[in-house]
This record gives sequence, structure tokens and C-alpha cells, in this order.
Amino acid sequence: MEGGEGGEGSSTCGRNWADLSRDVLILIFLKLRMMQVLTAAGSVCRSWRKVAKEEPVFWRRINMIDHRYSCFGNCDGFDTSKLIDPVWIAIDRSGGQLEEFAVEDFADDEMLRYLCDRTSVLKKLVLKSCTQLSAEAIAHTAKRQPLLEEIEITFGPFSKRLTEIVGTACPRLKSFKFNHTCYNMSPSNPVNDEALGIAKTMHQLRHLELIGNRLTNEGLTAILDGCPHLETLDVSECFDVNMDDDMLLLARCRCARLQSMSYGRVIGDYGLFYDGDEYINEFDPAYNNYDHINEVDPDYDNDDHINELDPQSINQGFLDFVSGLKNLFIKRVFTAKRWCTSQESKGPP
Amino acid sequence: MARSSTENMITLMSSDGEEFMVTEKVARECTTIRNMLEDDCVITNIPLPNVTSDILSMVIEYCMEHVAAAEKAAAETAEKGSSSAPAAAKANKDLEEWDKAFMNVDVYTLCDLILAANYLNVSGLLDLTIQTAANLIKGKSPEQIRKTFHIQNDLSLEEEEKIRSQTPWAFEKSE
Repeated sequence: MEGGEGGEGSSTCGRNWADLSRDVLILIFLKLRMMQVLTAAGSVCRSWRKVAKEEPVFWRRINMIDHRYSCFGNCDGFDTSKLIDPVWIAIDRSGGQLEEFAVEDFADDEMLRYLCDRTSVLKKLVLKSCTQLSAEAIAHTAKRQPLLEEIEITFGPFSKRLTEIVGTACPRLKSFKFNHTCYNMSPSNPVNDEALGIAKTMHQLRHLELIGNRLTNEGLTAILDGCPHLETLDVSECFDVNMDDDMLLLARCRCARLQSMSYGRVIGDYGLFYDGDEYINEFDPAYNNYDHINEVDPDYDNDDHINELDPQSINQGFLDFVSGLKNLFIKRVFTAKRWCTSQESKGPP
Repeated sequence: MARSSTENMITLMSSDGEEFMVTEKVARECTTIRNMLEDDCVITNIPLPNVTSDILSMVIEYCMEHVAAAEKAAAETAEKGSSSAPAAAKANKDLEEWDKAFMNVDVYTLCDLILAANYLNVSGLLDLTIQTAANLIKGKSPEQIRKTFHIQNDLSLEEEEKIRSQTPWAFEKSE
């Protein structure tokens, strides 16, 4: 009943695994990670290879970031260039159905252009530490992928108008993460252009991260006005924002669904890279060898420079207001790395 | 309640002519048979030309176990008014253990079970067998996979060279 070439000389009782029907093989391969299909299962025999090659369903999501951490544990010394070829192959095989693209380090303008020529149904785009990328390439991608709902760019290029272009091009955008990670990587003077671009165009946003941005209260106010559906907002490391009671009150009034807001200082860069706790749980056990990552510098609490909000310091009236509404949840970002906290205002790693 | 329904018996006939009498409830675990029964409610004898007797008996064993587990859970709920969470969790765990033991088969039997589960559309069994097969693939190189499943490498030298050049590290040992 299942079409296949002769499986002569196999078992006497059972059927041959090489002759499994296409739909059954698809079910099996769907239980594997993309890279396992690409490098192992897809190279076993002709019939398996055919399914792996011709079935775009395996290549809808290219997530090299998850893959890298789950397969290789900690990333120190891992040569990410090994993942470049598979990404090109996967883009090729996606047959216009690529919906998620997440890479770290090696995406460049050419790769994004290639991706845009192959698909136009991208919903999620994650580019971390892709330092070769130009703002133009990101703008071009946004224009070619109008269905984008989630964008995350960390250590990306800085461009005043980029957020406005992206917001205009992607009206379905629900989650936007545009992080510079290190305050010192941002432009030298406070700039609200990125914030104003978001406020002007991304009215449907539910989640916004602008870590290490040089926006001021003016920019934040504009965002709160322009993005009324916000559920989470992260403006950690944005030291030009003065998060006073008025600002908090404004956040609560403008964005009724706001459940979580982070601001102040993030200790170390791991919170950002690994999306905090969630990501760490997915790690290879080998990762735990890096036990310093979860240690907080003991001096941290005495540090005057930290402007993370301590609930005790909020005036009582405001506290009552907040507890009455019960909705504003202030998240403390605690992921830390010792070498980063031992000295205030150290340069980038 | 569970017992009160009339226990209609259905005869399933394997490809090698063996007959299996099962309750309608057990037979209905196979969506393919359920659809047949819904189209024609007086049907009592179903030939299954794609399933051998040894595989069919295993499929029936699986369905009976799962029907029994579901009936037991339903009876307990009816008795106590509400199901107690720890008891339900234990029952689930027992069934999982049973599934695990049930999957202790050679790869040929596994292959036949996958095909039978697919043909008869027994979703639980299909998922279980597919997952078992996927677990056997995980973490293995192409050569190790071939060995596990007794698959002959029919790739041409050119094809293999192409794979090797595209993903040179695919042939490195992973983990």
C-alpha cells in the first residue's frame, strides 16, 4: 500500500523502514528538531532524504538560537559559522512557507535579502548580535514581510527612523524588542527618535522591550500614549528615563492592561541574551557549570546607583493606589554576572 | 453507567484470516472502524486486509487497556462525585508505564504498529509509536540510524558527497 522502491533483503516479518509512506515519515520527522532532520534523518537513505528535502513543513521555523543552546550547551568557543550553511539550505527548502527566522551572530544583509526573495509570510524575526546587519536591510525585510507579528533585534544597527519604517510596514506587530543591551553602545546623547517612531506607528503592540535605549520621559510618554494595548514593557538600562511616581501613574492610566514593567538597571547581560529564567531552563545541564551566572554580587544591594524601584520607597498613597488596582506588577530583574557588577559603569565586555 | 450500554460485539478479521471478537467500544478506539460503524450500524464483521494477526492483536491489546483505564477513571469520578487529583495522576502514570512497556518491541514490529495505527487511525497509539521512532533517531548519526532501523544506504556516492559538502559537520559525532 505504501509506494516505495524495492526493499529487498530486509526483514522477513516486518516492513522496511525505508519504505514508510510519506505521511508517516513526516509525522516522525516533525518530532525531531530541524537540524536533526537536516543533518541526520535526511541523510539516511533516498526515500528519507526525499521527504526531508521536499517537505516545506519542516522548514517553517528556522530557529538557530534554540538549536545552538539545546545542542551545544554553553556557547563559549562554539563556532557559529557551522550553522551558516544549514541556514541557507533551510531557507531554500522552506519553499515560501518560512514563518519564523531566529539567528544569532551571522545573519547579514545578503542572507536577509535572500530570505525575502524566498518568503513573504514571515511572522517572527529574531536577530541577535548580528553586527554586520545594516539598518537598510532590516527596513527592507520589514517592508517585504508585512505579516510580521514579532520582531526582536539585539545589538542591531542604530538608525533614527528604523522603528517608524518597521512600524509602518508591519501593521500586525504585537511584540517588538529593540535592545542595545549596553548603555554605552547607544548614541551618546539622549534620543527619542526610536521611541517616537514606535509611538507613531506601532499602535497594536502588546510587548515592548527597549533595553539600553536613550529615550527620555518624553519618549516614554509618547509610547504610553501611542501603544495603549501594552501588556509588558521593559525599559531597563534606559537611564535617561526618570521613573518617578508620575511616570508610573501615567503608565497605569494609559495602558490599562499593563501587567509587567521593568526599568532600572539589569545586572550583567545574561538577562537579555537568554530572556531571563525561561531560557535558562531549556539549557543543557552542562550549562550549570557556569555557576557564576546566577550569583548576585553581595554588594549589589548597597549600591546607590541602582535605581530599580524598591516598593518600600514608593510613597504610601501611590502604593495604596497600586494595590487597589492590583495590576501593576513590578518585575525585578535579578540575573547577574559577577564580573559585570563588581564595578559600576564598566565598559562593554 | 459504563456497563449499562449494550455490549455489541464486532469481529475484526486480520489479513491472514484470523478473527478477533471485540466489544464495540474497543473497536471504536480505531477511528477508521468508528467511521465504518457510523455509516452502517448493523455491520458486525470487518475485514482488515492491511493488518496481520500478530499486529492486530497488539493493537486490540492497546485499545482494551486504554478503554479500561478510561472506564476506571469514569467509574471513580462517578463514585466519589469528583475525581481525586492524586488518584488520577497515579492512574495516568500507570498507563504511561504500561505504554512504555508496550513499546518494548523490535524495530520491525514498531514499523508494523506505526502502519497499523496510521491505517486504523488510533491516534494515541500512532502518537506513541511515532514518538518511540523519533526517540530512536535522536542524537544519532545517519549511519547509526541506518543500523538501528536496518535501512540500506541507497544514496549514490555523488549524493553523499553533496550532503557531506553542504553540512560537513553532519558526519561528526553529535554528543
